[in-house]
Amino acid sequence: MTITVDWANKLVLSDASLTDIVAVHARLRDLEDDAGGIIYQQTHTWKALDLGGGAFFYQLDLINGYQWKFPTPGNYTMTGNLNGAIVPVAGVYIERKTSAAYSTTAIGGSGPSASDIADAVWAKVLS
Amino acid sequence: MQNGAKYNSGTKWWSAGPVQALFKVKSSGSLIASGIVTVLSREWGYSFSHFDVDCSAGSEQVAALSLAADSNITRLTGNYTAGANTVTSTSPSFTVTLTIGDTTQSLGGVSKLYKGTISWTGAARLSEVIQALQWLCHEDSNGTVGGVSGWNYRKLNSAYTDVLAAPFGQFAGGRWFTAQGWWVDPASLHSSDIQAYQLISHDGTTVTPPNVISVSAGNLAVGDYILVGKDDGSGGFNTTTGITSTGTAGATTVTLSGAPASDVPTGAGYIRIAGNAHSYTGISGTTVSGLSPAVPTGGYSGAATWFPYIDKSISSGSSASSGTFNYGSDFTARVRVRQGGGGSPIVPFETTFGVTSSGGSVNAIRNLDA
Repeated sequence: MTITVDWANKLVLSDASLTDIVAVHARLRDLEDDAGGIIYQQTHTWKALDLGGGAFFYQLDLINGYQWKFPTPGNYTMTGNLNGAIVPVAGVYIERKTSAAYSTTAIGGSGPSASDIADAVWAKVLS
Repeated sequence: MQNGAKYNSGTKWWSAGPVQALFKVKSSGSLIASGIVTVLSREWGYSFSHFDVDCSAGSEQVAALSLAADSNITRLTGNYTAGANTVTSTSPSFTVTLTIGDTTQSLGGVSKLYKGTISWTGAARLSEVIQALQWLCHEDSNGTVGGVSGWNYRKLNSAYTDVLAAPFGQFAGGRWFTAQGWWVDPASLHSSDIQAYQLISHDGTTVTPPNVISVSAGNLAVGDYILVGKDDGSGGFNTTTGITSTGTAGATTVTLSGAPASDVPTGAGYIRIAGNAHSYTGISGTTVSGLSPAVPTGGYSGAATWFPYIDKSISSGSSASSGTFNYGSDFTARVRVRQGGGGSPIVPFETTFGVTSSGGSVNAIRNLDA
């Protein structure tokens, strides 16, 4: 997955499916704090709601007019609450998978166990 | 004084107080120096005065002098020695040098012609410098100013108005009101006197030193990138300067299409050329020198240019400051502080803050962004 930003046109460009929302967030923040990126407005806001037991509810919202764009024709998946408009490109088909409560990531840990998830669901149901 | 020389060879024949004396103003039927006798009062420790008395008509003429104890004089007369266009102080130790000649200088963005330059060593305070200059003009001075005996020196150009009390300008309220035509070398000034003087250029314009300020930011951390510049009023930086840069690849200097605004640091500072961030060590006219990094491959040719106040990655410490620049008017600055990727990422911090005649400062707010 290679994510770049077309700063002048406010486009977040990807050449692959976006399946790790935490990695997408980290990549965008990394681009924003470069000498080339800091001149431009920030791309997104980030929420990481701790559900307990290692589970998090993540949400990334593009702001300031930024949009997603997959410039190369093909089939892509956007997994997680990656909010924001998508620029239509001929030959590009995108499946968006959003989660109501959690998602997993390979960044910063191994993610919640099945038991953690079950506990979180029970806690949610009982609350 | 008569005809360029001290009357009676400078030997005083009168006692203290009002003087009534008889002067010879005509010799062999011709007036001596048109009958003008100049009465100078230049006693050390008192304000100076002089009066040109026209004695051509004979009779009794009045020399109107005005003087008073000079509280600015704190040194003894033996503290100084003088020479041609110089006067040296023993305590504190410094030498004032006068350079007679045209010089066009810019102060606070005002470029003017001056007829002479005053400079001195030791970063002496102005309160000391004006005493030395006053000594150079006192009654027993053996120094000269532009070939004129110090005790008789009045002004740098005959078209100027005399400053009776102090030929090099009066010192009042901690401020030196320098006599017309003299340029004061800024490099000589003590850091506490940067603004404690004002000049009058050859054309009679009063020129005051600029108010030098800076902007700073605190609560930073290693790994942060900070950008501070003028706010454009719509959420971004004002990058419109109308100035472009030209430079060859690998060079550490670029040439601007025009002189930058007066509120751009001319010492060390930051510059964005074609979006690329550089620092510089100085700007002289339209030449930006000490560029780092050097001009990239391809060079710059008429590349859009603007001047952030702070534009750097924090490698140590927890604060950052701009270079000093001249205050012109209040403005709003925008600051962005970001740290993503590794380390301790923070929610991007961005705000605006006012920059006034005292400068401006801001502290970043650091909220974890993971």
